[in-house]
Amino acid sequence: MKRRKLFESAAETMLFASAFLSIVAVLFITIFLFRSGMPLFRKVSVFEFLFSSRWEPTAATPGYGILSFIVGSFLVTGLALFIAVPVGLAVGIYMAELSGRKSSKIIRSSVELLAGIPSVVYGLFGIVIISSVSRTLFGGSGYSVISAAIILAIMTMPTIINVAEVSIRSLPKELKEGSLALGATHWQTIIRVLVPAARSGIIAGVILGMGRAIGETLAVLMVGGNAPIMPTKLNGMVRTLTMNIITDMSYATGDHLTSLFATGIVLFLFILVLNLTVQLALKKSITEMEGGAGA
Amino acid sequence: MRKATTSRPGSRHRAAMRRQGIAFGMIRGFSFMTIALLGLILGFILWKGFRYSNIDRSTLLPHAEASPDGLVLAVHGDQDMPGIDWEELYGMYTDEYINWSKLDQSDFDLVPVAVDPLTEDGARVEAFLFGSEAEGGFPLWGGLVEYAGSAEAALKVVAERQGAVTIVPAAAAKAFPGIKTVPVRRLAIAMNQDATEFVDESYLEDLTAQNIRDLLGGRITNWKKLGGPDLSVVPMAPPMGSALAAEAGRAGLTYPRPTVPQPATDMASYLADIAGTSGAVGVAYAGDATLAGIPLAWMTRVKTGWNLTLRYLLEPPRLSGKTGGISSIIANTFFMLLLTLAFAAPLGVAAAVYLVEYARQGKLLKLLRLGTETLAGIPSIIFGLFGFLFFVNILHFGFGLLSGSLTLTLMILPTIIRTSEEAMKSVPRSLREGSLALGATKLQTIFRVVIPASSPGILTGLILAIGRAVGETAALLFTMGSDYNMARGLFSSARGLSAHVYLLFAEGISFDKAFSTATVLVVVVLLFNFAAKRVIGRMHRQAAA
Repeated sequence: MKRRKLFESAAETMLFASAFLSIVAVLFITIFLFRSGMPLFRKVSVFEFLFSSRWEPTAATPGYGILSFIVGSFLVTGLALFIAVPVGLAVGIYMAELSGRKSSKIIRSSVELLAGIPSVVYGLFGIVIISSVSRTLFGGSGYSVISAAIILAIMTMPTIINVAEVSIRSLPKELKEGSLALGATHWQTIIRVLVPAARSGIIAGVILGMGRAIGETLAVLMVGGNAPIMPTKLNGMVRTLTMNIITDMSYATGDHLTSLFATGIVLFLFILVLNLTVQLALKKSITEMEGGAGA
Repeated sequence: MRKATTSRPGSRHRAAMRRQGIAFGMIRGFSFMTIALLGLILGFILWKGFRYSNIDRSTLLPHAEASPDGLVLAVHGDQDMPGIDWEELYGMYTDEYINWSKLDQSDFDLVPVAVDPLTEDGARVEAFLFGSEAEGGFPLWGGLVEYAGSAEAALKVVAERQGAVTIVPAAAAKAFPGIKTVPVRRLAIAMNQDATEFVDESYLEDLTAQNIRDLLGGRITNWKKLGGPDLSVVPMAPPMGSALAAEAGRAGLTYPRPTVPQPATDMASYLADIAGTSGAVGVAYAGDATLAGIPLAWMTRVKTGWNLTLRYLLEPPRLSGKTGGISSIIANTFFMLLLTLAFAAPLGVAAAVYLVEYARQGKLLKLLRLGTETLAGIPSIIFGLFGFLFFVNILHFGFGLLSGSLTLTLMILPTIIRTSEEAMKSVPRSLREGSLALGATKLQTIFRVVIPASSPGILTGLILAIGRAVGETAALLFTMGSDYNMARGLFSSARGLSAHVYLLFAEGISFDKAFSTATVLVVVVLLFNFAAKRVIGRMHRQAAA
């Protein structure tokens, strides 16, 4: 009996260790990233790193400014959300409120498959189709901010659609029935009652999508042009933080390599802030809302 | 009566309904656009993956001669070569190629065999290959060339040795066993130097088949029309009754008769006429024109064919994937997924068991959840950096399968934990209580009751996670390495499908092959999705029963 008890508690410890592994992984990622990236700041000030756009790591007097890549990341992501949010919201509304069983099934499968397509495949599609479409519509070389944003919009749409649908569907029935009973049309109910009520869930979805978009590497690498300059035009080339890391990783050494890890730190912090916002602030408001509705 | 109902509230209602109609129409449009978008992307990738359509740029006409100058090019009977360009043939005998990989994608060493130039047959071959160079005394035979005493001896070498090639008189090769002959493309369009001048940064365009017919037929009268200089086109006809004239006729090239100026009577003066007459154009053998210093016109033709064949799946890659197939890359992907699953599945399920069965509501559970969610949000390039730092460098695993799989394990762990958690939560309490009441311990209940009951859900999660892992690239480039040969062990550098797609494109190796590999990748992802759907479907049916 005692041995069995010992065995049970040993097993529990093992299970706990597995569950704790995620936290360990996050900690290790943080520690190693900082350990490898921070030494750069002994030579370059944090201010210069973040707010200079001179990226010449292999020059005689090297410059390690990543401002243009930060701007690039946010420009591309912002533009992608500008396209993906309205479309994603519309599709989410359709699936939650308007579609029949069959059409919602087809659309759901399509959205799942879109989410499953590997980013390198999106990249190939982007090189041929998106870049030539954007070349004819917007001019330039076709490898541009706008092409990268379109690819990212397609890739983040599934996240936004899913979250929008789930948060509208999980609203209490009384909200909709009350609005309809007051004489509002179905559309008025959706846009004035349901969407505002599902607001925090939708915002959480948008932020999650934003995190995905900022962290996306290959698809934007293949269509963004990758020129290490400040993006000034929407049809001009762009390099994002992720592109900067992957482009130079294969040959960088010394301070140059350290600067790539430092770029990784900046990207990691952006993602962490976005994720924690969703986890700590928005999830709380969702549970509060659900609790309030239940009471 | 109807008029009475059109009071103000009614019209407002109608306006609202109209707005609703417009809004719903747009929403419906966006929704079906999603399906169309998926169809477009998948259709495009599959279509480009299966069929290639290349614009081929060459100075040679597509017409191939079975026996140029009464000679034939003979290769081993198993060699897969439908035709050869003049430059390739010339290159074979001048040490330009050392094996067949660039010629017909097979792997054999190239053995150029020539009949001894001191014999009569050998002298014919020398004149054919090197033209006036042969007469001048400097035939540039390559160092690889092996010499045979007679045409029969040369053919015997070719019949016995795959990879060998020879040029012999057509009569000798007729009905010789074990060989086959390859037609040669050597007709080109020669132009006077003046037509190739730059004008305002514009240069003569690549010619299409129609352009050539129009140029020689007198329907295009000025080079300006093709982007060249403002210069009259002077079509030249090859000497009457010459072999070149006959061959040009077989290639479908016709001239208006009579041409101005009068056709030359022998080949040398014909070429001299083209070189000396401003704006002249005429058909010529590529070798002769090059020796005479006359520029050749670039021509484009669209080549199409099957890209993704069974052979592509079963052969190993060669020349960085430019030729050959992807068999070793498929194998590497399989090993990678198997290894990742071996790490991630037990860890993920164990974590889910703890979260569902052991953890009490409170700070600890919240912290564990936060860890999983945060891990799920980290982008793959950061995982790549971490894997490079930790597995590759600090643990000294190097670039290889093990480092790659461990990195992937961390990436897909949150997905497995989350889906397993959901599956275990949906197991009814009564099952657990029944098991415990029968005297089973908690651990026995978990392993004999809860996990079996939730296995379809866990399985679905595993399949979905693996489906994500197979498409991962950024995290693997700097952890798993990029060797395209089959991995020989855990520490062996290996390249998976998605990395292969990226590297084929990024290293400029082959756009077509990138699409074929992408097609294989997409099919694998679709299969995983389909499998997950089947498992979910079965689960629902079981639940209903």
